[in-house]
Amino acid sequence: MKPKEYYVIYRPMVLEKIGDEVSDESLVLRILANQDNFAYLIRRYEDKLLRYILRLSNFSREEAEDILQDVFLKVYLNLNDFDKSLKFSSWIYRIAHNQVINEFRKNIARPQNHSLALDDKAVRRIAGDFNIEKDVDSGLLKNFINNVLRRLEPKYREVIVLRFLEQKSYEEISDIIKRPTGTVSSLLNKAKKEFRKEVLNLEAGKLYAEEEFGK
Amino acid sequence: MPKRNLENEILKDIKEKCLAPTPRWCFLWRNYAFWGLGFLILVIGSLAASVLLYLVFNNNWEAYNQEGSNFFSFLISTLPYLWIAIIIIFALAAYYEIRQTKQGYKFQLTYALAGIFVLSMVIGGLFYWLGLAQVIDDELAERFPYYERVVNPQLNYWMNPKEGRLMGAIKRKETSDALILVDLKNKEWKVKIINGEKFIALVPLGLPVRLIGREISSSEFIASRVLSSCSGRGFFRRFED
Repeated sequence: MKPKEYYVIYRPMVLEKIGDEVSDESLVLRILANQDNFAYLIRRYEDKLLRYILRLSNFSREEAEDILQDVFLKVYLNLNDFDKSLKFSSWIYRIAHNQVINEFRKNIARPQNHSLALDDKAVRRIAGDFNIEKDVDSGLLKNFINNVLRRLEPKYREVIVLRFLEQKSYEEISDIIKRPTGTVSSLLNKAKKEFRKEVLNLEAGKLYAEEEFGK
Repeated sequence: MPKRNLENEILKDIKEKCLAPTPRWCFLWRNYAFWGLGFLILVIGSLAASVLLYLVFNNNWEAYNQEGSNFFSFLISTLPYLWIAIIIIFALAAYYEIRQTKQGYKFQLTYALAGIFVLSMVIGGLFYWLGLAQVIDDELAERFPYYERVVNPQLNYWMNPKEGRLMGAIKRKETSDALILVDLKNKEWKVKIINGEKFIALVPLGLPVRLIGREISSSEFIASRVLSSCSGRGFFRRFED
């Protein structure tokens, strides 16, 4: 009888080169095949999510990075739960959003004095959308919008951040905060009203201070 | 302050703790469990809806216009509140379960509740048509301790001889125009039925009936109308030997 021949196939797990042309969805499949590919996902979303966490919360950068680490670990553990009917970005933003809410619950009495990670582009965009005077100094405008956002209730701030700073569509916001699109739409309308009210309050306060104490 | 290398920290964490993505079947199982539980809640709610329909359809609506009664007080006194409450609770529970599924958040509360309610009524109607509602009502009427007060207030409404309403099961035929009736408190009444000879001749013993008329004495009643009584008929089995 002819002896059986055994072949040992050795395939070293070499990190593939994955460029931006590879979709998030196919990147997920590659991560499931080789965990090292998770590095690419981290690279794709690290800055976006960190900025989002900072905009959504009043956490310091260090705290936000800790939250982001937890977010990525959750993403990794739940990769098989990724719902292909959603955009991957909506799914990962949802995890970040939930993690921030969990952290909020743990730290209800925390001081709220950190900046909300607003860059010039975002500031100009939101100033344009809400007809806020844009001719003032960029730093002052940033502070002003930062103050307005910080005065909003979290439920209003999160939809304003998603719509005007992260530029997400209604469907994406619905998928991220897990609310029906109709609710997102009415929440956004209320949030815009609240934002405008706070703008007026702050401007009135500024005028009063100028009249009382001079510039 | 140097920028943290999150990528390395996360990958190191994954390797050191030997973390691996949770298997797909765990998530599928959880999702199906929520849908399954939601479906089960819907079925139970539909059973409640079928009993509600049974009680409503057998409420002798034409009887409200008897002397000293009006439709509103009749409605308030006979509505099956327990079943309405059960349907509302189960509709909310079904919505909660659906909300836990992957796509559940896409349903607006009002539309989802309206959909669940309509579906409960349709399935409940089917159960009613199949006769399940009658089986449930009979069983509860026979065994549930506060049936006449909590489950089916129609019985209490009809147990008011002073206002001309009496309900009971026919025990025996006394004369050609009178019979003996056992009421909800197992008390015997001699009931004379106006022009009721034909009815008495044909009526089977043990049949629960609702009577409209007037009380003559503490154990005698004259009935001008005899109505059928479907719901609560199991109640009288309590008095059988």
